[in-house]
Amino acid sequence: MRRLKLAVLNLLRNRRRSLLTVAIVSIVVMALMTSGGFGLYTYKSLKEGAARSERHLVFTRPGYFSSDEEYPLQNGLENSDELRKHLMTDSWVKAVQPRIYLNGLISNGEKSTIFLGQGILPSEFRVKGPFLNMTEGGILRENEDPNDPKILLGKDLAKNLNVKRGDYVTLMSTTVDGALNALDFKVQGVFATGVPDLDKRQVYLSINSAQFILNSKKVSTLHLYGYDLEDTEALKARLAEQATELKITTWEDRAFFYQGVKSLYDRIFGLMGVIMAVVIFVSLFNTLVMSVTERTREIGTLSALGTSRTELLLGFVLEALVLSLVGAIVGILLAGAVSVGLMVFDVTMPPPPGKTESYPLVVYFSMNLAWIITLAVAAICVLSSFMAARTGVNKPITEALVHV
Amino acid sequence: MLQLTHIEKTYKTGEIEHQALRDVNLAIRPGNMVVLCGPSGSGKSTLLNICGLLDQDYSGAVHFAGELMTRNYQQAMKIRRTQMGFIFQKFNLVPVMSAFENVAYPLQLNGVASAEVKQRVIQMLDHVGLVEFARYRPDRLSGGQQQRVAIARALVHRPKLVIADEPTASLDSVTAQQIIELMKHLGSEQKTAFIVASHDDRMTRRCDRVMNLQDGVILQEEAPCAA
Repeated sequence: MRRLKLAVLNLLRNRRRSLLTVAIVSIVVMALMTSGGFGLYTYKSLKEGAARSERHLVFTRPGYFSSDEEYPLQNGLENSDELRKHLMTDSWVKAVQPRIYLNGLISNGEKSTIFLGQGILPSEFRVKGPFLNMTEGGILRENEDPNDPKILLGKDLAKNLNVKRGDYVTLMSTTVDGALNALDFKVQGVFATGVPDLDKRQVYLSINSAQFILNSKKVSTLHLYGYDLEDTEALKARLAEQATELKITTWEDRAFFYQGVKSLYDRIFGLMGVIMAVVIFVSLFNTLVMSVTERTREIGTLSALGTSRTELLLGFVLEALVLSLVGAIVGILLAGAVSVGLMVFDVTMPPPPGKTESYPLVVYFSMNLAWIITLAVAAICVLSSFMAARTGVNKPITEALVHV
Repeated sequence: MLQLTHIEKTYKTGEIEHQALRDVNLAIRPGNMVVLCGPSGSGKSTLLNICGLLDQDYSGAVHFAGELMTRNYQQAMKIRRTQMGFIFQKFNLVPVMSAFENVAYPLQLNGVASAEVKQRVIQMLDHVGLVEFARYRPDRLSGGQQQRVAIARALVHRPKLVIADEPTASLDSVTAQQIIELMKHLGSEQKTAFIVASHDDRMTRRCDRVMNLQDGVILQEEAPCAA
């Protein structure tokens, strides 16, 4: 306590200088906290998006993701219902949803265009929660009449075909035998993904309809839902023995966009962190060099009285730590205020490249991040104070005592 | 107690060498007050620094209590901490510490328990007549009061030797006389030896031995003038 009190009193000798240093540290900490908080929000959003699309695990035949199919469902899963029921018996498994990917032509009778379709169980909407932004109509129903199949269209596709809810469209695709097949669908709803390329091509239909068009009972993939994303690897290990002939892929392996953005942001924030570290280092080094120079005679006196160099260095390190901790606390509080302010005032960001929808600017307040930044700042402070004080403390006592 | 044998000290400034001390031999006995006299540049401060184990860059040998101190940096620091006190011309109090804290500092360095620190500091401040100023920082004290605090700091841990560099030079004559008497009184009370560099006649009159230095050589050793 005595040392701490002395450190604080020494810092108060030149209040303006100490205040300026605290201000620099707090601004840097705030900048790192807010940018880091924005990064964490982005990671979480992308992670959730990727995980929502793929879910925890994807069961496929080996080579499904790496090789092209010569005909639809060439690499599809047979007997998927049995496997699905078997997997559902595991207590870690929340749901298993089959999916068929298909493509072909969609027509309103007058005009045709390419579609990219996903055949799903309508129960996916219930299991997954709201994952489509419906701009018109509703989602697929679980009790769909097989004689009156329904379809969901991307908003630009619906606009292109000039159809709305209740209108009919025809899907044409190649069956697994190479023949051309077609089926009429009633438009149940129109959705927007925020990605123009998808809104222009994407359709959702029931898996039964997809199998009818493709003339197959196979499915492309089985998507397994667990209870917690963090359990993904454990779940994979647990289920590996139950489907030895299949390939199990985690959502993270398929989250290419998430991985890309995370890698980019990690580098940007890493570089920013290094620059900020240099700013803090230079600022503190300057403050402490001035302080040490001003107190050279005092250092000489204390050395004469028998104070060791280590004790003298410790005093300066403690001063730097006080500056850094006060700066860090102020910076963290400011970052907290920014985080709360953004929640209150609902600031939105412009749409990112390749998207049409803006998104809310959210900055997460992370105590883990706060600890990491505080420890990093403290480490920089210890280093800079050590380097700044070393010269003064190592000066011969007789020289220090006559320093003017 | 302190024995200096064949001490020589040379300062180098570029190519120019200046011999500050030449074959100095000196022995200080416990409880002695020795005054070093001499004109500026005679080597007083250099000798004082060597006596105070502050300067180790010399030839010859320095023994303290029979132990060789030359180039023995760690032991010299320990001796300064436990068995020496220092009084400076400009007082050299730590400005952010109160009078109490300044006096307590050597005791805390020596690991004395806080209850005993308090008792001994109050006692010492009482000796120098500054108990009521215990909480004052140096900038609120006069020069004389600051030097009293410095004397209290030099003596509070009951050192065997106090090194004093022109302790009265920054004080008016009345205060200087008081400081000399205080040093003499506390020194004899605690059996502490003093080595004092001073031009002050009053100091030379009250000491046990006077050593005159000129050009780095002790010219003569005199008995003091009558007190």
